[in-house]
Amino acid sequence: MMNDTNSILSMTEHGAYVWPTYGLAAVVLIGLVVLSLRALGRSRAELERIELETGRQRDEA
Amino acid sequence: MSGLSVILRREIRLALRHSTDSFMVVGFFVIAVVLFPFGVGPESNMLARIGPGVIWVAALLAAMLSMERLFQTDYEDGSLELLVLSPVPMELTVCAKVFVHWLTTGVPLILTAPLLALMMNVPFEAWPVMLASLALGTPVLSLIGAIGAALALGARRGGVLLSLLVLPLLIPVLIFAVGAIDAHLMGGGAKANLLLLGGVLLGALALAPWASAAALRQAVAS
Amino acid sequence: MNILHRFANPTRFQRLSKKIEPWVLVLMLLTMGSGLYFALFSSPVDYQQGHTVRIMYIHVPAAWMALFCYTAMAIAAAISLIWKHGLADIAVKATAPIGAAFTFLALVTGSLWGKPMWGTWWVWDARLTSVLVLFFLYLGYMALRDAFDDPARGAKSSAILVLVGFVNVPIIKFSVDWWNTLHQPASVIRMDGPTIHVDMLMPLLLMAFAFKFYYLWVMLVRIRQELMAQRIRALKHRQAIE
Repeated sequence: MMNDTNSILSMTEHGAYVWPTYGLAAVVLIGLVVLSLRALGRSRAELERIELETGRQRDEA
Repeated sequence: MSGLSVILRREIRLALRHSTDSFMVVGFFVIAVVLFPFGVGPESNMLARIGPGVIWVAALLAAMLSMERLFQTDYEDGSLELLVLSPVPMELTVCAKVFVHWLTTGVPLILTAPLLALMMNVPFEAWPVMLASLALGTPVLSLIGAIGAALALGARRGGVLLSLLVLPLLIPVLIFAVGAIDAHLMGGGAKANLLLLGGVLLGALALAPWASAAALRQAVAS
Repeated sequence: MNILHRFANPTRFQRLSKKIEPWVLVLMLLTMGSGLYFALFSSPVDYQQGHTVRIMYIHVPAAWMALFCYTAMAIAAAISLIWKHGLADIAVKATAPIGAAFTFLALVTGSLWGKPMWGTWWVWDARLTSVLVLFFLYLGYMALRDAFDDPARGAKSSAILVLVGFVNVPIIKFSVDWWNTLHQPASVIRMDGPTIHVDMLMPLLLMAFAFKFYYLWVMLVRIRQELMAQRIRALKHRQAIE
């Protein structure tokens, strides 16, 4: 099995198609995760800020 | 059925009042097709080969143009709410509107198609099949277009959105219609394609009014 | 169907999803890691295609996911329309970008595989074309979803669009197949069992599971985010009224 690893690294002409595939998959999938997590963080911060504010409004009323 | 005939008459009167729309649709249809010889070159057997496809794509786009206003005017002046509440089921009202839309856009397209087939050098024996495919196909454009119009009612940039939603759904119509003409030209029978196109029409006739009515109800409800 | 309604209540869903999210994440990383290892390192080189066969381990699972996500969206849209199920509607909105990403991935890796195999980047082959149309259906959904000022209106309208699109997917598939086909027939899900070698089937199935866990995990994250966004809108609305 191991002899495959050196052949994988020295993928001659076909490597030009295999590596972009995995690279693109990584970019697309990780990109979507990063976007989703960042949106989650922003919403959580916004939610805490607003809950604080409405809390204070209710205390004043 | 009296309720339906009242609505039908109302729609036809409305359509006649601003009948210039049909001329605009036909105008776009003609200009869109005429552009191709300039783009692709006037060489006649090339035009003959792409003729049917070009005519059909232009008909598709022309039908999309006038689709946005199908429910727009009623939505804005509130008569859509009355239509939803009227005893006539919404599905039938949608059928009436789609039928009138087909009369004002589909039929003019069919009537001008021969002129464009002439210009695109499409051989004469293909004309009957082309007109048959247009007769079967243009109602589907109105039916599925009506779903898009109902869905995009009141949306920002509704016209563009409508085309983005509806054109992917109309690809089978385009494939079967142009397939029928090409099959006829290449000697094979166009019957199979035309029958499939008829099948798509019946399917659209059954499903589209129901989907449009559902979309209109929730458009009015919110 | 009461399990359905039990999860309609957001707070219960939040608690549940917080519990299972880490497990889904671990499962995803495990299957993705082992899948990639098998795909890149220890699976045999194809006698004809050489290393390009490794593209299959991304392309095929992504294409499966493209259809899987749209089907999931159609089911959730139906539930949200029929039972006015708010959470199912959020699931549709959460799934759309993931499905679109997988469809885009399937298209590009398909053409990356097509170049060495068929000699061109894009060919109007039946399978590629119907996946391209599916990609437009995803874009149409996302465009319609955010095209209204009132989010509830956008949600209902786009849910109907998903159902209309779902009815059309088989018709589009059939008409495009009729129109032109170059793609080889299905070689995994077949009556007489997969025709590809077990060494290649292993990474393929591992990657398929990895993509499913990935979908589940990102969907849960996006659903929680959307629930928070809804709560923010509600609080802002109440603030404005007071």
